[in-house]
Amino acid sequence: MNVLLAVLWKDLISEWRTRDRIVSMLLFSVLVVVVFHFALPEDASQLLKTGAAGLLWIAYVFASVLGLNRAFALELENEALSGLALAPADRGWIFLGKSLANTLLLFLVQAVTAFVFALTFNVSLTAVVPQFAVVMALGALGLSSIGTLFAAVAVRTRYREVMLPLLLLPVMIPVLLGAVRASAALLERGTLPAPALRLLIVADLTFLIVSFVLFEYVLDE
Amino acid sequence: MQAGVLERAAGHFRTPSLWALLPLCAVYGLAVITAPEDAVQGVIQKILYVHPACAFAAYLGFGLTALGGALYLWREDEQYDRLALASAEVGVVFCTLVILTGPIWARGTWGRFWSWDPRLTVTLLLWFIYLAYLLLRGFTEGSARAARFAAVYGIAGVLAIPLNYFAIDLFGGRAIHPENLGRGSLGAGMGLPFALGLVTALLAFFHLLARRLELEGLRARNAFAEAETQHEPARAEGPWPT
Amino acid sequence: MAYVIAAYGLVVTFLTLYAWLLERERRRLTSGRSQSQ
Repeated sequence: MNVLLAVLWKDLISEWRTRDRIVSMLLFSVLVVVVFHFALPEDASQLLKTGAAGLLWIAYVFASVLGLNRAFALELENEALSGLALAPADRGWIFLGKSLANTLLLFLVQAVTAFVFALTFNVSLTAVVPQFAVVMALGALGLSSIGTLFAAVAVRTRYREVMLPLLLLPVMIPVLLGAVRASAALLERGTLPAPALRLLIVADLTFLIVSFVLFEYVLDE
Repeated sequence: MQAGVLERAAGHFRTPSLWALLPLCAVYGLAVITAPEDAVQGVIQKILYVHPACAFAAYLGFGLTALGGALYLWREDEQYDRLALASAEVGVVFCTLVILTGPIWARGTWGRFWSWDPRLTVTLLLWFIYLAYLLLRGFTEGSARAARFAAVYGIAGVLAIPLNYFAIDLFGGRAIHPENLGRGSLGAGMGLPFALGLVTALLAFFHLLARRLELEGLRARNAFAEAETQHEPARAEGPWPT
Repeated sequence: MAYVIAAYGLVVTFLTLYAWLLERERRRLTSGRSQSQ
């Protein structure tokens, strides 16, 4: 447990010092929203009614890939990856610490992006902010858990930036589906559908447990 | 380095399975040709005797890949990793066939190649997972590390598949897949070619798997022998069975 | 009807081609080994 907090704290502090990941993720995510404006037709109001949730989550997925690609960059550059491997009992907790750090970063990016999106596309989120936050958090957790595992794998392959999305995208579909359906229902009707929520929770739990168990095999030198 | 148990078994299985496969294909083909035409769909319904069979093999393939990976992580025996690799290659071939025959059937029946039908979509995702698996193996330096990474991804992937199925089924995709094969909606006289299709696909899968496994074992022993003859102790990139 | 032939033809072709490629590689490996000994 201490290890978890230590790793979480270390990751967040080092991120706060340089802020390079959070800034690039934020900028990228907001840019994607701007690109949507140019990509959508003139009168997009109908499309936005039904498609806003999907668009937002596309932006979120790409932002998370961007962030995850750098999740182990610090360790790789300082050749600290093997250092992580030296504490056998703690590897699962190291994973949780990193994964939670990634989740928090992503959640921050999601919140700001949702805000910008709501403003620029005149989509009203105020009525459903708390529920929307829950969906964002659950989605971020799902993406970041399996994403952190795959990021640790991808960072030591050739073409590492491409490898991560190749590994992650087909596998994270359940999280995306649950999150988009839940978000869409929130935006349209203001209610949180139970099946979508269930799917999100089941997917999150599955990915968390699997990644926790498998992480140690990824660190071995 | 001795051949692993799996590879020796594969070597013995290879030829007999081929001798069994050929007449089986003939019987299967005959059953397909003589099967009655479906009242609604016509002759194109006969693709049903090969498309789900290939799907079965494709999913079995990934299951074995994940199993091989898990066994490798547990026992650190290289031959399990070779099983995972062989199964992934054979599996991806069958998976490709599912993705190709599905749209052929759809085009002939509904006029559209693709419809995001849940089952076919999940199989498409499986195909991407297969490809990612094979690319991961190809792009990782060091055979022990590649084996470990592949095992991790195989296990994660195999757990993602039922999740995907559950997710997509719950939410989307127009289900134009012929439903409920298990509930006896196959007309009279269609059970035999369908069953024969499954058995033939299974036998073909294991035959190809045996060949691929044997081949991988040969490659491993060749690499080992080469390292030895260069008067280096064979580098322990992974615990080799001696 | 053409669709049915296309589908089965595809399956048979792919699988036979793959088997043939495997066999070719196997022959290459086993003959290579006996040469080096």
